[in-house]
Amino acid sequence: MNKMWVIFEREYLERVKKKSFVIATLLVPLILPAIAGLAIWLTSLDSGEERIVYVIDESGLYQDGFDINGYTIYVEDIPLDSARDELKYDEIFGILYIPKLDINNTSGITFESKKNPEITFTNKFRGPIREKIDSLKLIEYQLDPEIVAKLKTNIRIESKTMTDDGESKDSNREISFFLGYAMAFLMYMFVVVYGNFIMQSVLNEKTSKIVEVIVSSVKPFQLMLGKVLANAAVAFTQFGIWIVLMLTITTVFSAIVGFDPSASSSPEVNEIIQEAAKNKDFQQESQKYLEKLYAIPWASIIGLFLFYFLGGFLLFGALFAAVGSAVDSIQEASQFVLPITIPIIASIMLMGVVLQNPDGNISTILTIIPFTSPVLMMARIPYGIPEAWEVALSMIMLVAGFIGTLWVAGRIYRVGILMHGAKVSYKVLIKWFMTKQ
Amino acid sequence: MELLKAQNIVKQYSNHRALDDVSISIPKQSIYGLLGPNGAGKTTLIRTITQIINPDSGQVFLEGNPITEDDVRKIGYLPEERGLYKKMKVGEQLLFLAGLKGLSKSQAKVEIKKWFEKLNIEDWWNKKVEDLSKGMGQKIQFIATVLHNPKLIILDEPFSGFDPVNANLIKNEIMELRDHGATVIFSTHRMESVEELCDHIAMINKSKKILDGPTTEIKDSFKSDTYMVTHSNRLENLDHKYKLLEANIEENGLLHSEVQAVGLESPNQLLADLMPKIEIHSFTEKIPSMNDIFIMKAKEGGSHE
Repeated sequence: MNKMWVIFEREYLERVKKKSFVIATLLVPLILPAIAGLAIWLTSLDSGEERIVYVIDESGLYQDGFDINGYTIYVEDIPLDSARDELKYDEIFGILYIPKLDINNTSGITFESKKNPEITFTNKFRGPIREKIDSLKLIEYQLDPEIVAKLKTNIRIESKTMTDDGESKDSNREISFFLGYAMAFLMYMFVVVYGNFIMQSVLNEKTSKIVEVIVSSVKPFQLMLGKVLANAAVAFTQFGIWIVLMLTITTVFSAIVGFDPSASSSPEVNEIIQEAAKNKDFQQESQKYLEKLYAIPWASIIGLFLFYFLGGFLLFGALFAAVGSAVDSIQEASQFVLPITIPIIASIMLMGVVLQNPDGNISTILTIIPFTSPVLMMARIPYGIPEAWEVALSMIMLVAGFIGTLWVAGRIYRVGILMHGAKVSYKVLIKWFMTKQ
Repeated sequence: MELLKAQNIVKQYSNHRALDDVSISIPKQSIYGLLGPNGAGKTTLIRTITQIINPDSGQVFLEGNPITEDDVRKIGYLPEERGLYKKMKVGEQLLFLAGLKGLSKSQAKVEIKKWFEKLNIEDWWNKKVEDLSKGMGQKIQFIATVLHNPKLIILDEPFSGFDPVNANLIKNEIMELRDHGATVIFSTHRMESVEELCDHIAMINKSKKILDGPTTEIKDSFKSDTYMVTHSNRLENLDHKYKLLEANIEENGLLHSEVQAVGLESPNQLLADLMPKIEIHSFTEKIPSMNDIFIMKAKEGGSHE
């Protein structure tokens, strides 16, 4: 097995020293926040442009107009058609038309524009319009506004999860959803991308013909396993660097923004943040949020992530290696790559099912099947670690699964790497698999 | 004393038999040539010895015991299909290949430096393989094969890609390795290039071994007691105990004849008989080349089929 580490070391160093690796590893943590920043910047740019909305109020209830951030609202006493003319020539952004309203009938309100406003835009009008109608209703039915206000009862149901030691902790489905989605997607991405790296690397050794030199010193299986493990280590390295970089960037960024509000370019945003910070509710809310974040069983999740990451890597990596060994060019490989990637793509497609019902029967089955468990177990565990027997069975199945694929792949690999110019079909692969050696 | 023995090796592929009951026995500290045209089965035989393929029947022994995987990993093997990692530096590449043979980094460095000096390529350590010519790459591959001082070295077509100067350099290195105790098996289809190198040879044709033995013995046994003479006046009326195979062929202003003299005690006798008749410019015994022997044997084999 010593020699496997020689293979491992070479493969690892070669991959890590590659320019493409360095670039991807350094740029992704910079690009992701940059894209987010750009998106925020673009929306702030958008609000700078003056958008005029005419309110044609036939009800006479809204002559005071509305106050909506980013828009200039004029209540115009003109016919709807002449307002439409202005809209046609892009003089204004949109027309809010309020017909004669009656407290029992509020239909017929329209908003007309050429470009679609943002999704929440019309919601901004709904509140003020309803308030006015509500106040009319209070008068009409002769109700005391104070009593009515007291009638509104705010019911919140906090979801809590009981841990194994019987302690209840706050849980948050949103956090779980996001975390599950992110981990499953990461798993998917790494398996597919690195699977292709492994395939390419095997193919390079085959076409450069160094492989026969190597297999005269090590067993083909050691070569294959060393390569797959090295790529797993490269993936871990990349992943680790990403986490460290992202944490550093976030810390540095929040240090700049958080402690020196005057440095921020948008005083409006700061105002909101400062005001919100004074607000007790907000403080409580963010406190709760943090508590929920701490309540997630990070140690178990990270442990399971590492296990399934390695397991999935070995399972699929071996298959990609077998494909690389069988073909003479990357073009030829595609027909064999498809059946390998189908379970991975299926996992991503079924992720929604698991995220919606993480403890359903389908989720249980999908997280036990070794071809889908690496991705889908990741989607499942943030909602709570499944029962011990399920996790144990899933892990055993995954180990059995990768031992199985390593065995099958190894048998194809040892023949394939020395075959040049063979026309490869599934029949041929089966023949190689059956070859005694 | 033999180092390696392959016994009755048979390897059948779906549509042809690659090796048909081939046995060879390789003496210790010798250079053993596997000769034969492309596709004869040389590489299959070598791959059987290195256990890259398993024979359908037959066995390989090393020093009297069935060869083990560990034995095989110690062989210095230069395959016919060979290459290097293109993006790697020469030094790193050799360190890696030495590591696969179990050498530590420090040991390997010493050995690599030694070989770099021997082959006058001291400044190659940091060169990238993709910048090397084919011949330069072959040198690196040769070094990788012998770096760990193997007892048994197997070279499959070692001279392909070398210019004559470098081929000679490698030839000398092979002989030196043998003199230091190594046993070398090598295969080639260019039979004429290896006569002076091989102590023993085996000829393989169409999956069968057609001939083997010590080179000198084989050559002796294929001597036809024929002498080539270059002379200026015409050779006629030769004694009846001699057979004139070719007579008086004009060549560069001189005449050329071939005389077969069976049962001659010494070539001097023929020379003495010729001297009164012609003016002799050159006189050589005709020794068949390996190529000639091979063609003779291959024809023989063909007639038996």
